Amino acid sequence: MRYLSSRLGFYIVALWGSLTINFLLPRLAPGDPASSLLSRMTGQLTPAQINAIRVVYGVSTHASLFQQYTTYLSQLAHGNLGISTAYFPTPVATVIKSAILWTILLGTVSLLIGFLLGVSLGILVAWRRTTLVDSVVTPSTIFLASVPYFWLATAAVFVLGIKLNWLPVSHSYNIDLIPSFSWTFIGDVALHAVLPAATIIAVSVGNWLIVMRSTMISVLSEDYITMATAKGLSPLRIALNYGARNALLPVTTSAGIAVGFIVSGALLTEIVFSYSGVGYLLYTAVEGLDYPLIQGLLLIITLGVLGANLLVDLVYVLLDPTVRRP
Amino acid sequence: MRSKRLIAACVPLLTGGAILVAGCSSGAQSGQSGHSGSSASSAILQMGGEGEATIYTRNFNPFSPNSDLGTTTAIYEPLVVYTPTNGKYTPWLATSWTWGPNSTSLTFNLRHGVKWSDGKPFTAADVTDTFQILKKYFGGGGFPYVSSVVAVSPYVVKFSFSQPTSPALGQVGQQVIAPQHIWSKIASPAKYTNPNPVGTGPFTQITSFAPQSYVLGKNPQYWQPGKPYFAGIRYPAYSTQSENEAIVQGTVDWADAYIPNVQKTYIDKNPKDFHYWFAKTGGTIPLVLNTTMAPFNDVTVRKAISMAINREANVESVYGSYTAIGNSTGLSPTSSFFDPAVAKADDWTTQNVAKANAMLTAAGYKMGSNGVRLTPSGKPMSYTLETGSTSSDYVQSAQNVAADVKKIGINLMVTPKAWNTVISDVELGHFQIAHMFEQLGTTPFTFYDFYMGCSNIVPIGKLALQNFGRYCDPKATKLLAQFAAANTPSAQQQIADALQTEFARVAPVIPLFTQPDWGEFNTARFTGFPSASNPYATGQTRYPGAVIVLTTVKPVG
Repeated sequence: MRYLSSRLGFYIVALWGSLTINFLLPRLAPGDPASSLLSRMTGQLTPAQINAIRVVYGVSTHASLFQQYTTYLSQLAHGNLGISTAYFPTPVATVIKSAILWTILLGTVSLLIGFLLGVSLGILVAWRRTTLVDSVVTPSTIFLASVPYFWLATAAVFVLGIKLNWLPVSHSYNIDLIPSFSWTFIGDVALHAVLPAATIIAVSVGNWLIVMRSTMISVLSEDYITMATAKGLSPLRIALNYGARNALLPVTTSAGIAVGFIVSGALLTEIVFSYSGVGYLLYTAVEGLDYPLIQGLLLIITLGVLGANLLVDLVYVLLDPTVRRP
Repeated sequence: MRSKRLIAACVPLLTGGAILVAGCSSGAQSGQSGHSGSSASSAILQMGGEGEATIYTRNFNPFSPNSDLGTTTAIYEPLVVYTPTNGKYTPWLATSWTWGPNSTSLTFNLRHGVKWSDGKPFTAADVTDTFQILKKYFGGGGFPYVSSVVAVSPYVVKFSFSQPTSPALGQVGQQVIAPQHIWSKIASPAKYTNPNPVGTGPFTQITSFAPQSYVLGKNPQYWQPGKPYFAGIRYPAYSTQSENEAIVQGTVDWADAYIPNVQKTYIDKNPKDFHYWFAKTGGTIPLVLNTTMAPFNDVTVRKAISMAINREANVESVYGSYTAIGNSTGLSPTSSFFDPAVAKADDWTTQNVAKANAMLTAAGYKMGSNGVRLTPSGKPMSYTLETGSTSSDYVQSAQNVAADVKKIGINLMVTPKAWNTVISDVELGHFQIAHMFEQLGTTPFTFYDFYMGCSNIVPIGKLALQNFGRYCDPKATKLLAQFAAANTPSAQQQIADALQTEFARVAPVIPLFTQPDWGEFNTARFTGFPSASNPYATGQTRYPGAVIVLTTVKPVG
């Protein structure tokens, strides 16, 4: 119990620190939201109009930084994320809501499949290390992981989408369809998710495999593994119940962090596939210096990462009894 | 194996996720399923996106600078529409207008018989209410010179200005009008997203809305009989990359994207249906020099730098043959005010490296030992040339310019930065040379006031919204005041000629080329788009002239 409460205390401090950094960081960048419209509207706005927009966005208020900070914290406490300037006057919560579920969908599916595939292959190649399987699988997944993601994604779009026309290359579902609970719609969503998810999985499998493989190999050299083999247990049982279970710990930590970062979106995926998501949203928010939207998105990422870390800490308690030591 | 079972478990996860997503983020209603049916009257025009957002929020507030595409071009309409290709002002919600003495007032006669999409009639009260809302909630909407807007009678509106402002016709005239019977009841217009708009435009119904695309349907009460000729417009959200892909694949009917090598990349894929037209009607892209610092306060240096640049080669390498090179008037050759005589008379926009070298040496800028000149005070002439890193065309242009200017002994270091940083630098005056974007209005007043007017000079270190180079020309300022008072084309033309001559004399900024106005058109499903042979509008989808295109285009068959 003391362990959990000390962890909780740590997370509260970490949350406050992140919120403060979330507030300060965007404001350190030069420029302001109204002026950044200049480059977007390229000359179609007169200086008087830019000035008017500045008033509307509330940029010309002369509140001190500390006053803005306290307003920010009190608004957060009330669950008010403010009004976005890039989507003015849509509230930040509405903007994020439009995109976040697609991000979670794509991110969760890609992470889950990538993790399971990577970990399973890692177990396999660690068990059969230095054989043909290991010599083929390990280098090829590492190679895929080293390929620049945007190149792989664009190549997939070009070959599979445009040239061969096997899969759709943009959007999260066919824009002619109206979202509904029908099987056609769900099937369409799944079809549109294949290329984006597949490219993400292709570049991430190698990372999971490598970590799993190396920890598994060091676990397999332990004495109790030799003892289990001597006792005549089946190789599958040894590999999974004794080998993998112990080797999972470091991989779980990375998985936890990756789960937290699902909500940060996959920027390059969203650009290449025009997939609705918060990654590109954050990118355009930063470009347009949309402070409320940036803060809102960073808040969600912070909560996601911290929450996932807390979860990992709890899972550790289950996986590794030695952690429960007071 | 364990993992196989878990992979199988993903399928319900995916389905569950899809259901959740569909339920929460759609907010869609009934209505036609969208894409063009066999009958022409159900045809839907497919637009390219803005290339900047992959999600839309339901925001049709006409006063917001960030409203969804179509708000100010299809749902709401202005009093007049300006067409850059022929310089004409087309009467739209107003049928005619008259200027008061000295351009201090402008009276519009409104069109009778126009109805809002909910059936109520359009009257002068709508116009006055619109400008009242702008003044009260939107910082004046960018018309600080408007002192009052009065409904003289139900169909006559009079604008009074605090100073002569003849360019106001294109400014207040192109402001979209919102219905008074709806907006006067809204407590906070600045915070209202207007999810179900009521407008006078050709497409006002929201047939369907989802974050990645929405469809605007026909206005049943539209004031032009028989128009529009098709059922609706679809706006999908695209990132820039996907937008170009969609255009090239033929799924888009009308877009205004920059496509490099357009003939090979786009036209050759389907020469029968794919067309493009890049009207040379954009503003002038300048090199802005900080004239508060030496040597840029010396007109000889400015003209010499300009003379070193090979504009034809620059435009060829950046845009192919899409656009016109800069000339010494600072205006685009397609502008109705352009005076070719002035452009011919001055030679500082024609490349002449020998003459530029001679000019600099004669003015006291001696050539140093390493090929870099020195100012009279002995400093080497080495400066930074900054531009936005995301505009690859400007970066390339800046590099071409730097290579040319090296030949006259001036070293320019091209420093691409994020646009926000560049804009902040030029606004505060913390720059040396910047490769900026256009500043365009319906009259040359905007351009000349922006770069030569004394009234808006802001010292270095304070935020300037115009005249980044801080160049004050008293003669031009006088001419600008005269221009603002003149409201007939002939009077304006005379003063515009004088302004062009003055610009050519003092060269406050260096014109590089005209920003092309992009336009791609797919005639497989629709015809009637503008083109070089029929320039009734530009190909731009986001500016007031788009409403003319939307009411001219017809479905095929």
